[in-house]
Amino acid sequence: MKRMIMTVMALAMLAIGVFSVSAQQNDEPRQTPLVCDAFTDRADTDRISYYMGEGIANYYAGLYERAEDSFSCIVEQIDDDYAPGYTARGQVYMAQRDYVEASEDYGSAINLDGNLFGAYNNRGIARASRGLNDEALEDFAAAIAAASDYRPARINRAVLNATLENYESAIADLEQAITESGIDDVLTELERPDRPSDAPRPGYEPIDAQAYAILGIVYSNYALENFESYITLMRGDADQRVQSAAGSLQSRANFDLRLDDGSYYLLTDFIAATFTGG
Amino acid sequence: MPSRGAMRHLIALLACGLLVWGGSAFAQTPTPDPCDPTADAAFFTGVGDSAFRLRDYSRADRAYTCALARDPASPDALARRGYARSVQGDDAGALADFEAALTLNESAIDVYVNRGALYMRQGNFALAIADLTLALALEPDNTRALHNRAVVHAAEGSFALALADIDAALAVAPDDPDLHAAKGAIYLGLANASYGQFRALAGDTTPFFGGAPAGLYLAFERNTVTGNFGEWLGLLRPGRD
Repeated sequence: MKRMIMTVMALAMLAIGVFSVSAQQNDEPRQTPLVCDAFTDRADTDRISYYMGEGIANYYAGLYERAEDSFSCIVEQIDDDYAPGYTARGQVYMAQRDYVEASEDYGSAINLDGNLFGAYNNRGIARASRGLNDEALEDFAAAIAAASDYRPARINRAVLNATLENYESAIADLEQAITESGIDDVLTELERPDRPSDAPRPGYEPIDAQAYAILGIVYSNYALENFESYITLMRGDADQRVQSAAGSLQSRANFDLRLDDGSYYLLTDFIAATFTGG
Repeated sequence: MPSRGAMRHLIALLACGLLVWGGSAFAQTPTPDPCDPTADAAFFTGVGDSAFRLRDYSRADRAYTCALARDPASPDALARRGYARSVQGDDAGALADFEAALTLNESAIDVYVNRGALYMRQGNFALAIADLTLALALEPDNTRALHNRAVVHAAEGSFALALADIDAALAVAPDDPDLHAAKGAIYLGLANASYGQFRALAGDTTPFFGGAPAGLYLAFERNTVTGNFGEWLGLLRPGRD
C-alpha cells in the first residue's frame, strides 16, 4: 500500500503546454463499458494497488485511455473516496488536454482532502487553460495557503498574473519564490569572483531556477510596455533603436517567451516514475 | 496487508508530510527503481499486466519478478512471467514458473495454456496438445485454449481438428477478431495443403492461380516445404491478457 504513497510523493515538476489546444469534453457516456475484473477475489486495498500499478504503467506507456480506465476502476468501482485515484486520473486528463474532466477530478480529490495543495495547483492550471483566470488564481492561492513554501504554485500564479499584465503581483511572487528557495544564494556563490573553477556546484533544484526565467520574461514584457508607451508618445519620431528593440521584444513575446500558451506552468506530478522504466 | 483504514492513515500522513516539506520535495523524478521497495505485489502485478498486454515481455518479466518477490504464492504472476520468459527464450525459467504455479494451484488454467504455448514453441506438439486439452477439461469454453490448440493442430497439419477447435472458440466468442484471423490462417494452411496436392498431381511447373494473399501464402508454403512450424508461432496467444 505504500505504492499509493509513492504515487503522491513523486512531485517531479513537469512543464506542460496547455493553452494551445482547446479543452476536450469527455462527459459523454463511455463507448465501451468499464471492465474492472482483475483481483475481484481480493481485498479492495489490493485491487486499488493493482489498478494504480496498471494505470501508472499505462500512463508511462502513453496509453492514456487505458490509464484513464485503470484509475476509473478505482474511483468508480472500488472506492470513490480514494483521493490518489482522482489525482492520477486528473493527470491523465491533463495529458489529454481535457481540462474540464481534469478540473473535476482534482476537485474531487480536494473535497476528500483539503490539504492536497498539488491538486489545487493542478486545478489552477486546468482552470487557467480554460480561461477561468479568477478561479485559477484562487486555486493557486489555496495551494500556497495549504503549503506556503510550495513554490510551483507561486510561480504558476506569477505566470498567470503576468499573462493578465499584473506584473507587480507576478514579480512579488517570483521574488518571494527566489528568496524562499535560497536560489539567490546559490547564484551569489556561483558568481563569486574568487570561486575556484573546479569547485563543486552547489546543490539546488532546477525548478527554483525557473523563477529567474519567468522573472526575465516579466521584465521583458514590462520593458515592451514602456517602449510602446514611448513610441506612442513620439508618434513617428521615435528613436529607431528603441523601435527596433520593441519589435524584437514583441516578436519574442509572441513566440518563445509567450506566457499565455501555458507551457511555463508547473504541474504537480502525482504519478510516480519509480519502477516503470526499470 | 494494511486495512483500508490503515491505508487512509498512511495517505493522510503523507499529505501532512508534504505540507511540511521544504525544498526537498522539488526533487527530480527519482532514479527508477526496478523493484520499488515501497510498492506491494498487487501493484507490480498491475504494472506487469500493462506491459504484458503491450507485449513488452521484458518489462513484464521484471514487474512480475517484483510482485513475486513480495508474494511468491501468486499463480497469476507465475503464469504470466512464465509466458513472458518463454517468449524471451528462457524456457527453463518459464517451465520453473509454470511448475511453481501448478504446485500452488493445479487447476490454474492459464498455466496450462501458457505452458502449451511454450511446448508449441519448442515444437513439442504432443505436450502442447496435452496441456491445452487439460486446460479445456477444466474449462471447455476457454477460447484461448481452443485457439491455441487449433494453432497447434494446424502447425502439425491436422487442419480438420484445427477448424473444429477454432469453430468451437468462435461459437463462444464470435466477435473475437483474433479467432477469425486464426481461422483465416488455418484455411490458408488448408489451401496450401491442397495446393501441395495440386502440385503433386500436376507438377511444380504448372502455374498456380495468380494472387493473393501471396505473402502469407508463401510463408505457409515455406512452412510446408521446410517443416519449420515457426510461421504459426505468431498466432499463439497467452492464457489471459
